[in-house]
Amino acid sequence: MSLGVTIPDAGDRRRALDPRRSFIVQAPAGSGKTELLIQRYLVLLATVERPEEIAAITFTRKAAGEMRARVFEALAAARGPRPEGAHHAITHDLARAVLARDAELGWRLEENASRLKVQTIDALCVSLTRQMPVLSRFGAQPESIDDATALYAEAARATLAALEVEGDSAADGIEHLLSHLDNNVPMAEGLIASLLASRDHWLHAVGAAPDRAALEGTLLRVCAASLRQVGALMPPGFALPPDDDVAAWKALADGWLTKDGKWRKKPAPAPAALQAVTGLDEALHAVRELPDTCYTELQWEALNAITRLMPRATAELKLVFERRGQADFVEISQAAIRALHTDEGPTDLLLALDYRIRHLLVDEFQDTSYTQEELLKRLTSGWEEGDGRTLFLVGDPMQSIYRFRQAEVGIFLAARGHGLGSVSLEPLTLRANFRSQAGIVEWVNAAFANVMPGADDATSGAVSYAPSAAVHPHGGPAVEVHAFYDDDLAGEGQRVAVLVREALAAPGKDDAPSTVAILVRSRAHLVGIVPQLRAAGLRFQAVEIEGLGQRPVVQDLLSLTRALSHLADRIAWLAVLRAPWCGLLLRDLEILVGEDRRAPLWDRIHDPEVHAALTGDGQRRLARLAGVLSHAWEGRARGSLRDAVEGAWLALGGPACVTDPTDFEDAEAYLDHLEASEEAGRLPSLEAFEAGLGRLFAAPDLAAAPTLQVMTVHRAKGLEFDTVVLPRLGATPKRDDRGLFIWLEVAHGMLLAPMNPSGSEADPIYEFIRKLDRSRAEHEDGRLLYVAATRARSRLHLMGDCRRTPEGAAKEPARGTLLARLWPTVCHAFAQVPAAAARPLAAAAPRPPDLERLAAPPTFEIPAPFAWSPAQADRAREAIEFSWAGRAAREVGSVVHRWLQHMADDALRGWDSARITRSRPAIAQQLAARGVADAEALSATDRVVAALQAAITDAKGRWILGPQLEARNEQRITVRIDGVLRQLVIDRNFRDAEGRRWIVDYKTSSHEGGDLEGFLDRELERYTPQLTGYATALGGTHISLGLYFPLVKGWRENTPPAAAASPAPGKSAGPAQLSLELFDHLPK
Amino acid sequence: MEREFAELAHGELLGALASGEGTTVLTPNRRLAQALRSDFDQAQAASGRASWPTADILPFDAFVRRVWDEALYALPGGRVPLMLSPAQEQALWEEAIAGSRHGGALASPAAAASHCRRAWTLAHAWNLADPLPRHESGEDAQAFNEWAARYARATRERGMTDEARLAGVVAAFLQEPGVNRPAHLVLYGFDLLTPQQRSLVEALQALGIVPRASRAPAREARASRRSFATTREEWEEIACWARARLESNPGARIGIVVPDLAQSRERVTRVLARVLRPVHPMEKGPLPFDLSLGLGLDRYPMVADALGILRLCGREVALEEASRLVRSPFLGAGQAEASARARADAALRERAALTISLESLGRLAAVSHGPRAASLLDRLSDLAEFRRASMFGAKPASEWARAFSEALRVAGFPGDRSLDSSEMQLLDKWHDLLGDFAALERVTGKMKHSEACARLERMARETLFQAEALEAPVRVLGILESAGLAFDHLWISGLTDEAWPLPARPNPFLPVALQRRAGIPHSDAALSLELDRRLTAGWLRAAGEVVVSHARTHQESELAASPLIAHLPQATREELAVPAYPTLREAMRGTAKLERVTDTHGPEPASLVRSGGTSLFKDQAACPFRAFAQHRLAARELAAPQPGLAAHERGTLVHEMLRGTWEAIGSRARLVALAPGEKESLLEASATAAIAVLRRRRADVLSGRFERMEQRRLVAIARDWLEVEAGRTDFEMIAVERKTPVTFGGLTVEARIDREDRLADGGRVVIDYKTGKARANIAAWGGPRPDDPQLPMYALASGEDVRALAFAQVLPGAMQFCGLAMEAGMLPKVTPPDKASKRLALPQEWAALTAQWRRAIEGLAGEFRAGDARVSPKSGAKTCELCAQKPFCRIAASARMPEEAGEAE
Ligand code: SF4
Repeated sequence: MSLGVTIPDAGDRRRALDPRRSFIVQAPAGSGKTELLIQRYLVLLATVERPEEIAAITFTRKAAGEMRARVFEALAAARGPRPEGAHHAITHDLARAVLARDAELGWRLEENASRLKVQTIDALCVSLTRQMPVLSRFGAQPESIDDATALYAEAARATLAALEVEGDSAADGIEHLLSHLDNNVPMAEGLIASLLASRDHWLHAVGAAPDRAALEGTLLRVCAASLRQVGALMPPGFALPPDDDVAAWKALADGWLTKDGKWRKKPAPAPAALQAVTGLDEALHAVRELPDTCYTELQWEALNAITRLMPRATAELKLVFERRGQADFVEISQAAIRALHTDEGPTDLLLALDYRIRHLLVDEFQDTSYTQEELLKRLTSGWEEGDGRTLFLVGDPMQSIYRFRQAEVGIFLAARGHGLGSVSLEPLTLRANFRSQAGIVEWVNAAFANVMPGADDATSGAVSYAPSAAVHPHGGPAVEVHAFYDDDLAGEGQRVAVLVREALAAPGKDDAPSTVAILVRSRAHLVGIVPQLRAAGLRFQAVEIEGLGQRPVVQDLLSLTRALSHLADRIAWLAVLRAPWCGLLLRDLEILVGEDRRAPLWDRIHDPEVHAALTGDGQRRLARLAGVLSHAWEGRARGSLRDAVEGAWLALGGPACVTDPTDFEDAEAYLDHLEASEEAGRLPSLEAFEAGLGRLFAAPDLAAAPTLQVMTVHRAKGLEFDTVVLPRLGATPKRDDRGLFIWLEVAHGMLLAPMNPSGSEADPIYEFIRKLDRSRAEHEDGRLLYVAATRARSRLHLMGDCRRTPEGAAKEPARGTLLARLWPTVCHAFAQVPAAAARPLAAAAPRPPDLERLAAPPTFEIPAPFAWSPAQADRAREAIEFSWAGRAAREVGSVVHRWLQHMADDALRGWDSARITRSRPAIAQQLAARGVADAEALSATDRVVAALQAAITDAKGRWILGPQLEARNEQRITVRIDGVLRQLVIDRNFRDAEGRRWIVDYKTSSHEGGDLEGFLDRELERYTPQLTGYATALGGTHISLGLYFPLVKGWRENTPPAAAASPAPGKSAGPAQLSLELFDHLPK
Repeated sequence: MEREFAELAHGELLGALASGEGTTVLTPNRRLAQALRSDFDQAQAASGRASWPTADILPFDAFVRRVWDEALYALPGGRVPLMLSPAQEQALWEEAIAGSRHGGALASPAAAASHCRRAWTLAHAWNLADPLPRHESGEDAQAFNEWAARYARATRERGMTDEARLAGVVAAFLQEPGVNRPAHLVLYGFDLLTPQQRSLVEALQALGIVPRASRAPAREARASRRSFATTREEWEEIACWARARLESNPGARIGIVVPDLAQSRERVTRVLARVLRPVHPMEKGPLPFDLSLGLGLDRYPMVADALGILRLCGREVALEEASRLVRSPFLGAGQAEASARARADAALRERAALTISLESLGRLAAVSHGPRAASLLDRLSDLAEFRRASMFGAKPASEWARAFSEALRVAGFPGDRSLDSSEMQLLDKWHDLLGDFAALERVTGKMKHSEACARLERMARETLFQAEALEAPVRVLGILESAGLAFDHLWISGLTDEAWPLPARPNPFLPVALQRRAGIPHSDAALSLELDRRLTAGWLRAAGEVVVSHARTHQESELAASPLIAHLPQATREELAVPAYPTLREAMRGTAKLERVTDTHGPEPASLVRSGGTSLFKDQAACPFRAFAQHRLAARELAAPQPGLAAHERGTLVHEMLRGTWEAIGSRARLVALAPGEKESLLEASATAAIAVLRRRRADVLSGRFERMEQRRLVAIARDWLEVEAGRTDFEMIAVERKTPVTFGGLTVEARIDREDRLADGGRVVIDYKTGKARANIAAWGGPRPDDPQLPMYALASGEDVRALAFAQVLPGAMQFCGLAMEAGMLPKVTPPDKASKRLALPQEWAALTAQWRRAIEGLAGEFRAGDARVSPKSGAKTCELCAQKPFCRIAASARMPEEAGEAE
């Protein structure tokens, strides 16, 4: 940026670095505000105790990342030599001071990037509420979601459901609202949902809806303000009605003006003194459109219904949020606001955060919403000049273009006028433009002085123009206006292609390849342009232009998703059958569909008779598809839906039908969306899923160089290009519908009116608010144009279309177009063009498209997988007992095992039946400790006691548990069988008096009904292979195996033949129970 | 850990474990215990043994539990406190919060309770809890103090303890006889002992046990750094790297560390599977990597549906949920009856309201067109019966558990499809969960069905489950579980400057300054940095090859390497020797031979008499493909549940209303002669009748207060409309809702007309009611492809004396006729063609006009008869906008254009 040129506003820039003062800085396009912010940040860093004391707020995450990176760059550069240019030298010196501070206080900032608190305001709110779960009244931090549309609808639905709830206090209000809406429930739901989305406008932190007095008061205030403005125009000597008497003012206007707003000539001419004031006639005429400042009863009834419902709807929304553990940003910022200020006064952040915020820097302050403004006020509450705490607001009201995201440019204007909350701010305005060549800067200065109004006005959203001074010199032709006539879309598109081609050939900044951007106001305006670019062979990166859901590959995946989700979704099934991977012809489709017009095609697909009726080609295609989808259907609801769809897509050869790598990106994006939307392997709502898909964009062309980009002006904010082409300035924007209610936030209140229920007569209050809203929108259009034009470094092309009179003269473009805003500046370009008739483009009827499909199943080589087979056996499972009571049985087994172990440890010395009976309470406690519910406790304890009593009285039991040689209990060993490791717990291992080695396993199974012996035989059969395997691994082929069943006093034994081969582990059905039981008496 | 304990080298440790002297090894986590055991077992196996005593290696907390468990058997009853299960802890915290002064205000007390549990654990681990500090605390910490006091009292009263306090509790039991004490103790892989752990170790020391410390042997590592444009690229290379290392040494131990494992679990699994096992998707088999991270039970379809069935036993559930359950494979016979159930569901969606009760579900599922889902209906009615018998009132948890279990049995859960191994494990876990739920009764009172369901759901959400995985050569780990492990190759991903060192995240319920002073990791930036430096250093010694990596962008933000790894040398992919392995999709891409076939016409229709009315012509005019799809292939959309009545149902009501009204009135003369009271009661009666007609299908919506409101609306609309009719010249109604077969171009359909009147001069007028403004438009009759040819078709078929045709726009606030007549004055505001708007470019003569209509309609009939199915929407995107056939006709494949709509944002 150091150009060896004097910077016109160097003094102001230096002043902005005073760490003791608070500022609000207007930084027009290209004024290098990021550098200024960095410098300010560095200055502050050198003064604080902890880096966390400075909070910097950016508009996007991206900007936060950039700012942080710039700070670190500066710190890194500060270790190097001091640069030449004065501007850079400042940064260098500031950064050195920070390094010194860091060393002094041991921050180790460069190792700990997160200590720089540079974040979006949303992230700041999250970090505040997370540390203050009680004060924010969240309890626990919810997940923040960008798009809560579905949740608003859910809450709206829940609200309306109160209609049918007996005695619900909201029911009457709902009835009122619905009858206002002709009982149209979806419409009511939509209305409430949209009000919930902007509830921060409606309900202030307290959650109460505005009442009639407040609403009428605000209306009166706005009217009075405009009357005051008229009053200010009036020459002295006239008796004026008070500001709040609209009717009197109207009478005054009627007395002096004719119906159409001209000064009256008769009966008595308007006083000459008035006539002499320019603009007074218009101003007075406008007074006649001011509404009455009271609602009619009918209006109030409708308004009252909705305003009374809102708190209820908000409460329902909170419930929805809670159920899902989610919240939108409105909720989170309101919680943050709550947390920052309790009844006792401002919260001490030191206790919650371990530091206090001492300095706030806010970037893009022009795009602040009222909620955010409130948050900033709370954060700075009590700050006073000179107390070492400062606020630094940077932005450019001329670039405020985010009304649709609740940005209110009036907040900037107000803060510049009288500070923010308790903090007074010194206003500064930057002038230097470091971006564009002088030719562009001069043109912009001249043009926008006309486009933008002469004075600021918060209510109508007017922002006056602040000129820039170019730092760069002139550099060849700068701005060119291209005129087109009578909807010459094709001509405009062709010209764009030509201009782009030329521009790409020209050298770019610092000899980099030249960059070109085509910027439009709305995506719809690209309709005539994109085909021309394609026709000219130009590849481009369309950033967030094409809907993801429009891409064929995505539509096919969507059909597959729908088909696998619902067998009766006929359109989806037909689509799957028609997609390239199958490609059935109409004739076969009709046979397949058959007579029963509601039968799921699934049945028909699998019907051999149907199959036989198809053409040979159809049979082959269908058979292939049926195989894949049957498999997918069999495994439905096992894993994620995404995997099922992706698997089916691969198996059908979907990717084989795709050639463009961009399609893979899009497929992936779709599948990711699917994954994010599914719940437990299914889509909770197909509509919500598709709506969400509608909000996603296809990936930009991967094969295109980044030098040519197509995007909306909003998207281009903050970017710059060598050449900027602004086509379709003459296009009329989509008109917004008249909503059932209209509302508008103004300083300290809101304006609100319902549409006239009959829909016939225009309502003055409604119209007044609508006009105000229109005027805000129009002012924003001017700013949008400013943003667009100032993206250009060296060349700017403006293209527009206007109608002509039959004589060939250009007509003034329609109101609402961007061209109309520029008209005074560019009309000469239109006037100069001769009136040769340009033909509007005749749309040739396109040939109906062919069906594209696989000619034959794709052949390709399946890549080899990494060859691997696991070294352990899959643990087989015990047959599942179909009840949670199975758990009690298992715990009984564990407790019995433990007692048997104890008894065996003592070789039964000191154990008798009485001792076991005495142990009942302990047993009950142990069962309880293992989670056996009280309800089960008694019978479970009985079973344990019974098993132990049996073991101690039974001769076999006494033999097993009694004194034996080399006895081990609960012996833990690891064995290796066929190279596979298993860990076992052997209940009892001993040598008996005859010298036989025994491995005994306790079984607590009981057996009801007859044939106990048969049961025991089967159990033995079941466990023998497994036990034999272990015995072999333990090195003894002579080991005898025993199963002991204390509950039934059962015993089975098996002495393996010496040469028994060990069976393969894990293959047989038998080992299951054993392995499970062997493990399960470990405490979990 | 500073060298306060004697160090034991790794090899010596393995020796000690093999010696049989009773060495117990404690590790900070399960992963490390497994790793050490596997080292030990391998050494044993290598020495040729077939079996050996299992080494006693376990995580610290498992050791604590073991001592507790032994004490339970060794000590007399009552001395050893029982431990609360996590669900019981949660319930007690919830109770503590609910009873406090903050209770009511919190948005999510349940979530707060689980945070409290965490704070409670932390406070005990770091000795901050005894007693909880009272100073320097903000409101949040004070609230926690209050809750903790209540919670502690509740546990004391019940003589129970919890996991957080267990280590302290068991210290006292260590010297008791019957409680096993380790002969030798080794602390393996600890970077840090919490004060609580230290106390326990000290208690062991007091018993004469001399703890020693050990860790995995440090390796001399080749460390390098990689940076990638995107996370996707990063992962593509990691997967290829893992595969390359495995290919060259199949026995290699490979570790991949992922800082945000919980969020990227699915993505990581997918990328690794794609590269390591690019097989045909239907080929199942084990994956050579493991990733230990469970999902909440409720995220498994089987459990979700079990919970759904239980919810269905309560009040109403969302229709979408009922629909899912109807189609669930986990509801008895769900697989066998899948198709019939899908069909039943399609019918259900057309009739049900947005929420539905079990009873209505049973009723509506029975009204299917075609084969019935008999088993489904049985299950639903059995379940409804069970519900009436057992799902009401307040009961203790164990009774609910029993009832839930029974309800599922009645519903035929888990269905007729055979369970695979992970579903078996899941079912096991689910039963465990019900068992845990039953055990809640020890701390909670009786609850209602809804509360029981909600609790069970929450427990399911918080119970993590993962099907058992096999030990695999590649391990994917989170940061904490990676600490101390040794590998041959180790890759640490995602080390951006934002992610590493971890930002400080102190626990909000404990005073931050206190946490900082106690040295709790990550409670403060400096502590974070210190710990994460140590972890980084640990990684760099943990394997022979170590690679660290990061992406340079995330979404839109630019990122840099973490400062903790920035000093490592950058390597290229070539230097790391990572080849590219193709994934299946890449191998497939573009391999298909695609052909283009012209398939714009189907065969001639078999029958020339078509059902479905004049909409066939309407659709044919809009787009031949649409007509073919809808009228020959029956390509219908599934109904989407909507609040209230759908637009067409609202229309039906108005139609019915006017039908009833006019059937009763009959002529204008009668209309004007009606006494006001007479008129009102006639209107009321018609409205009641109209509602009754629709209620047959939509009983769930048309009831209660809404029904009364609809009644009023209909009366008001009809009253207004009769005003318009009263302003006409005399007429007599001769037909309402009449259906006539009409034939054009050989194609016969049934035309339906809302009303036909005879004027005084004998001329007839045909009328079609429209309840929307935009739709009542005579332009819809004209041109070669008329948008709405119903009235002209009817008129043409009815012969000469139809003199006027009109839409009756029955719209509050804008009631009027709109149409064409032979002569002016036949209907208010209805003009002859020569007086109609110039823009319509109508023929001036009535006869010419009707001839034009006939030509157009016959043309459409001809198209349909020819099997015309061209994808050719009449007005491009506008025609397609609301058409449901888009995926079927594949219009998007033929035109890639930006969207028409959409504002700039
Ligand atoms: S979407 Fe368009 S092209 Fe496809 S069938 Fe419908 S109207 Fe025809």
